[in-house]
Amino acid sequence: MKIRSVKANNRKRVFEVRVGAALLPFPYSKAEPAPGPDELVVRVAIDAELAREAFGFELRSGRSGLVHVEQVLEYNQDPAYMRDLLLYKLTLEAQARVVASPLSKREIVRRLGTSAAQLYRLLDQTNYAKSIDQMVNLLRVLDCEVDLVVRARTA
Amino acid sequence: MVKWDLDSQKSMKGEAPRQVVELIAELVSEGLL
Repeated sequence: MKIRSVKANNRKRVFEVRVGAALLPFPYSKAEPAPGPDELVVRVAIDAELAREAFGFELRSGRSGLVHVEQVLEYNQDPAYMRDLLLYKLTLEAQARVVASPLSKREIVRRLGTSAAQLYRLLDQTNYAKSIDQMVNLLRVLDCEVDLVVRARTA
Repeated sequence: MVKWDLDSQKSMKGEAPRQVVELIAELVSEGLL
């Protein structure tokens, strides 16, 4: 995901990052290095070498850092980002369960009612073009229950 | 570009060439990641 624009708001002490149509805040305190309480950001720019997926900043002290768009999306709990993260976690779990399962891959394919190619797509953790439903179904075939835990956010 | 999961030692996005995987392992062993 590309960063369209970024501004440093020294009063609110946040970077204001435009990603798609959304304007997302990213607090200075979450950056690395984190600016001190009285330290100002004097320069901020999108990093073209990182395909506009990150921005660099410079502090008055001369220290500088880099923030990736995924840090911004994670901080803001972006729904698309959280969905991908959930898919990734379900995929890692499915990979481990397939290895531990007494079922052969051929049998898993049969029980899923799909093709071997589709099973491999489901087990590819870098593939996000699959649905949560499909992963839950795969885990069900692997004799697993998927539960959802919602917690209050900690600081 | 590759997004790498340091906990699981797996790529989350993109494909990591062998040299990149080795470089990450080296950085981890040096405590830099």
